[in-house]
Amino acid sequence: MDENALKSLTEQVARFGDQQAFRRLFSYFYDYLFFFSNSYVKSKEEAEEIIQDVFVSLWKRRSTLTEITNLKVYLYVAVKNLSINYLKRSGFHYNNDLNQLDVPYAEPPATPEEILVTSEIRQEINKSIAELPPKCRLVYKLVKEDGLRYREVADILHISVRTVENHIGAALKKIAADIQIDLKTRSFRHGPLRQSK
Amino acid sequence: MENKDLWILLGKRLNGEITEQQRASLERLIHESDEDISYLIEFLEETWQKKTHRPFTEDQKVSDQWQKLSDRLGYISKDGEKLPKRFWRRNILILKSWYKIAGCLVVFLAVGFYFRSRFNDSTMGKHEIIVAKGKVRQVQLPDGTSVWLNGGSRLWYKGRLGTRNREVWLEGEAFFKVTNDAAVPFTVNASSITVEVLGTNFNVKAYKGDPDIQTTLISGRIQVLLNNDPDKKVLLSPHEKLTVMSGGSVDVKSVDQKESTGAKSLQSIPRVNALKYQVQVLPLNPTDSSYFTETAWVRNELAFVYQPFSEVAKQMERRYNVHIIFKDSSLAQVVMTGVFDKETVDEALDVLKMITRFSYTRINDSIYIDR
Repeated sequence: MDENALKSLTEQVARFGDQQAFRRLFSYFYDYLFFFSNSYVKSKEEAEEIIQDVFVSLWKRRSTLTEITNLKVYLYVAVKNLSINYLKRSGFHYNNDLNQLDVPYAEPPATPEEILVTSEIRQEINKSIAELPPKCRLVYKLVKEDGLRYREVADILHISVRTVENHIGAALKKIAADIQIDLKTRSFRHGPLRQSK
Repeated sequence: MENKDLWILLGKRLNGEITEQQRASLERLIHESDEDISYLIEFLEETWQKKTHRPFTEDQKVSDQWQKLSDRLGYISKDGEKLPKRFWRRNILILKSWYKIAGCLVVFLAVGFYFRSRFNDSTMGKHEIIVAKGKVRQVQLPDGTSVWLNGGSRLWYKGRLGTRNREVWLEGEAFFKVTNDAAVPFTVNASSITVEVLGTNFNVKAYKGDPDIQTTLISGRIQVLLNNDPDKKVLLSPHEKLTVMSGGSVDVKSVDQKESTGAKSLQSIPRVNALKYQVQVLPLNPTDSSYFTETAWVRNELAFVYQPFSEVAKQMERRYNVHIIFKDSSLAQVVMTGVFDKETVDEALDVLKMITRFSYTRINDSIYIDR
């Protein structure tokens, strides 16, 4: 969803209390926020409850929705805060170390139009991603998968933009190093990766 | 391969956050690299585009969660009253047959309105609401919009307000709580500006004789047209205040650096009619974000923050229905801050005397201020 679509949905909700627009916001953000919350609380039921609570309070303040400068960041931060609250409430020890998180991110599955060979390399990539520190993996996921800007990730996780840059650089470097040999031999054997080129 | 910067810059390029300068140095780094890594970069670029497949319609899990959420939302509304939750749940199913009904309704309504407007000319007169000085009055307009009128203000509209026409004229100060109606925008004409809204809360201050017209938006979104310069439209966001200075008697120096000037209007319109305006973001009160001095009068308060005595005096004139005359004009420039609630005019002046040294003489409704 681009900025304009997001803005017009927000305005619909703020001005007219439009529940259909609110539903589109909810279903757009649901998977991203669920994954994010689940990384903290490591409980499917609890993560679901947290998303519910965040959207209930968003609905309650709907008339002032347009005052939020960045709704994406707002939602992620709200989810993060509630997740941390839950951890504290239930006696888990959480000391703001993002490496304590559980981030089961893997590259999205291959679509039918992809050629077979890339799905094997995908396993290679997923192996490298799995070996990254959780913090680095989370940053990579938020930027690549959720489509967030560096600045937004920095604001959400309370880290500097420079740190985000470093994490993405480190992730790319590791993936590149791990698939280097594999890719070279493979493309030697099978020819170019993309058929249409 | 070992160069850390290369991968950082590549990441920025993948996410579209790279500057032109960085793009050039990335190109150079790739070129200078000992090994051929261009195929790796090409592969990473391809991988980067891939996102988890997200179906166009929401999947079962999300639908179930929404159902759960909408059940909870059904019980929430602004005023705390309960909404029938079944209504929301069936909303989508009903929508389809709605279109048919809506189609029929449009035809009936169109015919109805045509006859109504032809035979109902008796309602076409002017409706006027006048509020005396020293009073604040709340009225509800036929379309459901609530208006608070400050002392010494006049609001009028022509004909039947609501169905097709939501245009009002204002002289003085009013706070509007406009009922939502996307089809018919609500329009306020005040002196040299026109405010267009769909549904929102805002305050307009346009007293005759005041050097400026102030429009303060509390929530929603409004568009202000400057009548002297029809091309100029100012869009206000919540908590923003637009001040339009009019006439040649304006002290332009009092406008801060953030002022915007309609450059075009300055050239095409004689100097005397030149309009200057500025948009300010209102400072939020840390204890209560809904509190602004601009709308204090609605709660029957008189509030002022860093305002010259002359301005405060004007507000007091309206509130207490008195005349305040400065015998020493230097006092008029003194800047003051304060809030009055239930004070009488004498009590209020006594409080001001504590902030600034002055004396006053009261003769009936006239108050003379002197050193």
